[in-house]
Amino acid sequence: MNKKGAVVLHWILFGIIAAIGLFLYYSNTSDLPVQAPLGSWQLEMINSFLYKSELDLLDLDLSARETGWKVVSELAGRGGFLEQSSCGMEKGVNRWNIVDKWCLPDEKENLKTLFFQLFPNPEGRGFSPLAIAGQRIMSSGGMKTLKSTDHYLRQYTYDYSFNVNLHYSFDEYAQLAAEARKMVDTCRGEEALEAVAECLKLVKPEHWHYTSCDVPVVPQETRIWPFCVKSPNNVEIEGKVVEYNLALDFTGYSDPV
Amino acid sequence: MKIISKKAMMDDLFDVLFTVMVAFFALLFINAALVKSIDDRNERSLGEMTAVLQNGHKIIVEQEALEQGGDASALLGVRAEIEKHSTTLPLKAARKEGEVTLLVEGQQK
Repeated sequence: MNKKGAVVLHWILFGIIAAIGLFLYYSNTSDLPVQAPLGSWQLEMINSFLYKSELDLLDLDLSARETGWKVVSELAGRGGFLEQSSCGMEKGVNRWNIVDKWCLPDEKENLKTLFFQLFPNPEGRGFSPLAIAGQRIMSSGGMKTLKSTDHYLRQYTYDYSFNVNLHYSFDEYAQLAAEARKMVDTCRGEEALEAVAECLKLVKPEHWHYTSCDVPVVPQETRIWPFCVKSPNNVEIEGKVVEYNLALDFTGYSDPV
Repeated sequence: MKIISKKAMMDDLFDVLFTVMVAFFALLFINAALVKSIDDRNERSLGEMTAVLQNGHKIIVEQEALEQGGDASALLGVRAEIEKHSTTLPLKAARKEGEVTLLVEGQQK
């Protein structure tokens, strides 16, 4: 090996050693992609975008269900009405009838109205009208996008809608209305209040209670009786059976209104 | 006419020995830096993937609880797990600038 060749070889050696040193240094301390776990971009997309959107939708579902339950309880407490029944009130309880005129609530429409009054919507998002199908309520809030703020553009767009099971059916109102009609039609012809009470003993279902569900009190001196009616299907909302409050008028045809 | 001196033969011998040593260390380096690195990355990827998939499973459990009328009480825990992995998974370049934050955009009706 001549002198020139030996010098070149030595410089190459130094270069190689320096390169190895630099590589080892930067690969341990810097952002060289060789050290990142394989598939980290994809995993991050799943974790930080897909799962966060799923959590967001879970929050929405929870919020919708809580609001739905709250509305169901409030409506039941008001006899299914938003405010006052067109038949008026008796001791703060909405009446379902005046003699033979019935003022039954449109509970589903009232749910739709009251729901979005109580539904927390901090983003001020517009939702489609509430749809009710059996025990489920649903509405769509349009599309929503999660977007990263760093210079690697990543975004995920999803349908911000809810479809939740309330485990409660508004068909209970139809059942209560049928029971109420039967009680009124059967017993309002009785002249004496005691006779009305005796008549009701025969036709009143067990889940109907006079005045209060906790301490039932048979009304005196009036033929307009408030009732507390427990859910016929024993539907519980947050551990408490749904209770309807309504008043029935047992005034007979011949009695003054 | 070639003259093969004893010194030249020694030079060649050392050249060969040196080349063998360099090749040997180069192979060791390639093995350590690339092959082992890939194995480590695979192992880390599997670990991260398992953790992320477990989060997905937890979300499904919460969704089922909600559907059945339960209280989805473990939701906070799931959220914390997902946030924890959000700080380890983002691209390194993004992490350099701090935590990845998300903008929420939506079509308002």
